[in-house]
Amino acid sequence: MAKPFNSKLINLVLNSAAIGAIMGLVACGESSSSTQGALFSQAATKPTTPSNSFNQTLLLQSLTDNVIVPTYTKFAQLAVDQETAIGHYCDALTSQADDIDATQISAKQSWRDAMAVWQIAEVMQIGPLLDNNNDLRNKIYSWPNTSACALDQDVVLAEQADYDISTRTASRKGLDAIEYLLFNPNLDHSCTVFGTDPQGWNNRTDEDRTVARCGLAKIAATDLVSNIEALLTAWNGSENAQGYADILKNAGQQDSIFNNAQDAVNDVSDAIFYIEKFTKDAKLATPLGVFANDCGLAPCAENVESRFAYHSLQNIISNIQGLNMIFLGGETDAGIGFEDYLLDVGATDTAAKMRGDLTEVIEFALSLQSSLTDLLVQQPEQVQEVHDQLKDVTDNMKTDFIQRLALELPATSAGDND
Amino acid sequence: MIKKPLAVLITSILLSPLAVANDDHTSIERMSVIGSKEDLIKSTGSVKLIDELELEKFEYDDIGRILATVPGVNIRQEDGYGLRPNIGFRGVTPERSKKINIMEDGVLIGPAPYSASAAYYFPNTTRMTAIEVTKGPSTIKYGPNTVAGTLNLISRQVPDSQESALDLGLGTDNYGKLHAYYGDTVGDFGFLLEGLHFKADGFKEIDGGGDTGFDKSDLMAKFNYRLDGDDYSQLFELKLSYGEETSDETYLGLTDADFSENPYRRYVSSQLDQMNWEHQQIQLTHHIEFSDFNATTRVYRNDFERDWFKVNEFISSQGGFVPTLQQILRDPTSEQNLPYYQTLTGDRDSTLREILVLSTNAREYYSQGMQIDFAWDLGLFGLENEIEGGIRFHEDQIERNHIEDNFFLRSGNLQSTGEATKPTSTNTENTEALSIYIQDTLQFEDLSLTLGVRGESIDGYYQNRAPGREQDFLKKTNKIWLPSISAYYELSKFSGIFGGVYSGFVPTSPAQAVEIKTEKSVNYELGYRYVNSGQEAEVIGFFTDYSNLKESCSVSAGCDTDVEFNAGEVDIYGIEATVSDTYKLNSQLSLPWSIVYTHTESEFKDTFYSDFTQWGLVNEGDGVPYLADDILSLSLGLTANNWQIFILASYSGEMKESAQTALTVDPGDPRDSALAGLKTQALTNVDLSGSYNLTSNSQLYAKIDNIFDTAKISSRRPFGARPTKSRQFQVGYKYRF
Repeated sequence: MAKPFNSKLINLVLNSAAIGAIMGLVACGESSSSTQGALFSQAATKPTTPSNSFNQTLLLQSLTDNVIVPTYTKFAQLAVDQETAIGHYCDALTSQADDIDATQISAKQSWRDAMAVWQIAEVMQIGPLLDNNNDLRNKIYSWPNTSACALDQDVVLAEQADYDISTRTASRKGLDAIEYLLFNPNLDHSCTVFGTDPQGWNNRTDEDRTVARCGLAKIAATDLVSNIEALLTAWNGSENAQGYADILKNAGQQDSIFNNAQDAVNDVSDAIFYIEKFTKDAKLATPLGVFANDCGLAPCAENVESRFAYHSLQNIISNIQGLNMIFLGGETDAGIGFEDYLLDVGATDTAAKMRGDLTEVIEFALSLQSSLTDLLVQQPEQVQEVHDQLKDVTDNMKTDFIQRLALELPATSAGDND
Repeated sequence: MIKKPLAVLITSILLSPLAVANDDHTSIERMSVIGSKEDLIKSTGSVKLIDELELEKFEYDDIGRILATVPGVNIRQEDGYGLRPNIGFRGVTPERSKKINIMEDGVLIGPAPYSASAAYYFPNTTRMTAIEVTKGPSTIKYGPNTVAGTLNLISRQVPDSQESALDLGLGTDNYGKLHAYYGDTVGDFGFLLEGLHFKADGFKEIDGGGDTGFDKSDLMAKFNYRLDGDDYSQLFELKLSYGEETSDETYLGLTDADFSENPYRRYVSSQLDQMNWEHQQIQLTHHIEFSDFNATTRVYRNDFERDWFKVNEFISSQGGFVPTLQQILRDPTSEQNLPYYQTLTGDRDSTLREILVLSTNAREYYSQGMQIDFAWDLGLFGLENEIEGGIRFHEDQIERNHIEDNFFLRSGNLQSTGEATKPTSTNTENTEALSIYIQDTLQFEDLSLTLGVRGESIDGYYQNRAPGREQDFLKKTNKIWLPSISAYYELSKFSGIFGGVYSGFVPTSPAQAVEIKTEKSVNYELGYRYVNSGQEAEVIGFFTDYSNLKESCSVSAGCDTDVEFNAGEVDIYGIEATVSDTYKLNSQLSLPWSIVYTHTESEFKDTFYSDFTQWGLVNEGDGVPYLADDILSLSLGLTANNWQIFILASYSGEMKESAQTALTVDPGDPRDSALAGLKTQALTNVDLSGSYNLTSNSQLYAKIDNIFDTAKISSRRPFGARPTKSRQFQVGYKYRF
């Protein structure tokens, strides 16, 4: 016989209440705990800034005022000189003047001078140069993302009155473009894919093509001046905007974009790892055949950085000199550089080794009397020696230097590619 | 006690977490996993059974096509054959089916369900005799993922008496299938041996030639022994299985323009891509059953090993910016991307700036454990109680040994650069988990009320095994209780309303920092069901209120390795409906039909940026990716005594490739999701099948998948547009001994 309805209802309520109470006890949510290793990457706590009396702000001020801004400023003047020299060369070509050769030599030298300084700045890519996916840096120098064919196309386009280089992609302007236009002795276009070649180009006279290339070189030189001016403005500030120099020097202070000065120091540290990824690997290891190049795994002179101007070795030397300036705090050790930071935290061995290794590789590279192209063909062991000496520097940077200064290694340098 | 037929006993094993087998159900067909379809009527949640007869209608090898008749299932197609399916329920990401529980014979079958939930192994559905889809509050009985549901695949059972069959199939692109089994029960001892091999050369065409298909094989053996007592039935069963696959599959798709020209093209740069895997399983089951109590104990071990060698990216020996394959294929003609696109297609030889990286993502997995499930009918406090519970000790592990090799593409062939092979990810993730659940269904007049709770205690351990990375490890523990409540109210003998609320949960993998939160939600459903003499109708509204949506980004989604991301609050809601009936034309002919429809809406509740490539710059109100608003399938058949014809038309709406609705305008934001604003194409697919019984033992069958040869973009991830399956003809012959 069925129980009365009310009795069943009461039982249902009792049952539900009992189970509900149990569920209520257990349904209190979630708990978790964890322990992690010192190298656990995704949650690695930032290294603790070493406890010492070193003032990172002074380091940032010194590097800004004595190294970075002066380098940019020096390059700005050389860019103006280059614009002038290329202008004279183009004028001579157009007017068929007698001094074509002399103005050409002068124009090429102006490029070499500017390039030597820009290669110092390459290890100082921080702040405005990196904005918008390295937009400004690539406008000034886009290597290795260059395109000879794109330049050939723009040489023809630049003959039109409405050509506006500011709207063109980075591979059609900057120091790499000017190198191709001034130094490439082959006046035929470089386009290999059907349909991309500039119409009728190879049928034009040598003189005509030389004038046309110089025309774009002149436009590119002017554009370069405006871009380096933009860089200087970004660092020095304007009426409406604080300069990045101030931002860097006041890192970690009130309203700073940096949490603390050490974070800004880490940005400078990231920048100097250019020396590993580009100088050691892309500019030395790749043409040597340590990494695959267009010749396979053999020395390949075609794959050097400045193959038209034969300036690759000078570029490498400038890169290392730039690193040395950051390390010393200037061209001499009068300023405050990373060496001072190392000494302050007691890493005297690391500081001494870095200074010694840097001096050794600079002196050795300067002692080489041929271009990198020729060395790769005739004395690749000499190039290998530069690479190996530079590897001593970068190995130290990736280990003792980073650890003693409690800096974070850039992700791109976490492994060892070679 | 009446001795139960073996089939019923095995059925009880398969469904043991679901219900107590009822002696009244001795006529239960052995392919059923839920007892009988009658049991579905009063289910307090959404459960769908696809039985062997249903599976044989279309002879599908692809679980994605099979699930077209199940409401609330969202699928992203990938290779066309369904080799590595992407299945989601009720709007959860379908990516590698990582948010649903995939089980075979009641045991988790994913390679490492806790440590690496991406289901790179999926059992061959061709050898399955039933498929069970559980959504809603019933999900609380399974785990670890409770946010969406469970897919339980039922393999062939040991027959009561001698039984064997042979199935031979041939089809387009050299499709071939050989499937056979033999089983018997002699006295108290039973056994089953089953083998399956099928293959195809592939429907895609690699520039320069080469196969794009697969070879798959499965072997399975089951041995059982019956040891009944006076008051109980008891069965011991050993299951051994082995599976392997070699497939010339790639992650590389096409540009949209190339897809329009020939959707089945494959670029020459994918010529070496190949997946190889092996899977072994051993499972020991014990089942004991009394009149009001049963318990099933399973001890299991699954080993899975895979290598997928495939084109992954470009690198440059000179460094600098190198676009991703996704970027190249989205905008192939830009000055920046053109040289890479031309290299991919073989129109241009590689220079040192266009070196192709082929990765071999070698992984070894195991998954092992012991689980006990029980069901108990008892009176308590004067009410009818049906108590179900279970406990599972589970351990799984993934060991990654990823390596990379560099290649030039020159003269239409991939050539090694000669550089040494480089290790990339070398790590191990391991999980030990203890799970329990208990639920009680109380019967009160016309009301069935089910209260339940699931507990998960998960210990995860991650270790980087690369030299010098000993200190790159993480140990973590996560414990959670997940309550559930649901009810069914019987309106009549044939109909009722049901509803429920429960907690959804998806754990993080062991390598994820504790800052990455687990996925949690509160899930609601409310539905109406009518079942009467073959007529079925069901409509369910569902709402998933995520307090935190978590996604993991694997290689298939465009990431280097599994990384997880949080999105915070997200709502997903919708309606799923099914209507089916069989109309008798006369005493000979019947006209079975069904309509299945799902509508789903979703919205992020926050505005945020995520590195997760499928999200990008998300605005509040944006919908989640890879979720079609509308999914519809219409099935119609004509059956006679010795022949039958079926047609299945399915429609799946377009799907967002990214939560971000559009790329940011000039100059563009580097954080943009590369596929922002793009959608997959809506797909209408029609399949036709028919069979004719030559004798009582033999049958001829034929089918056409995609009879209109419709080709649509199934997805542009991870690298470019890939097509749905082309039109395929198949004929086959079956013989049962």
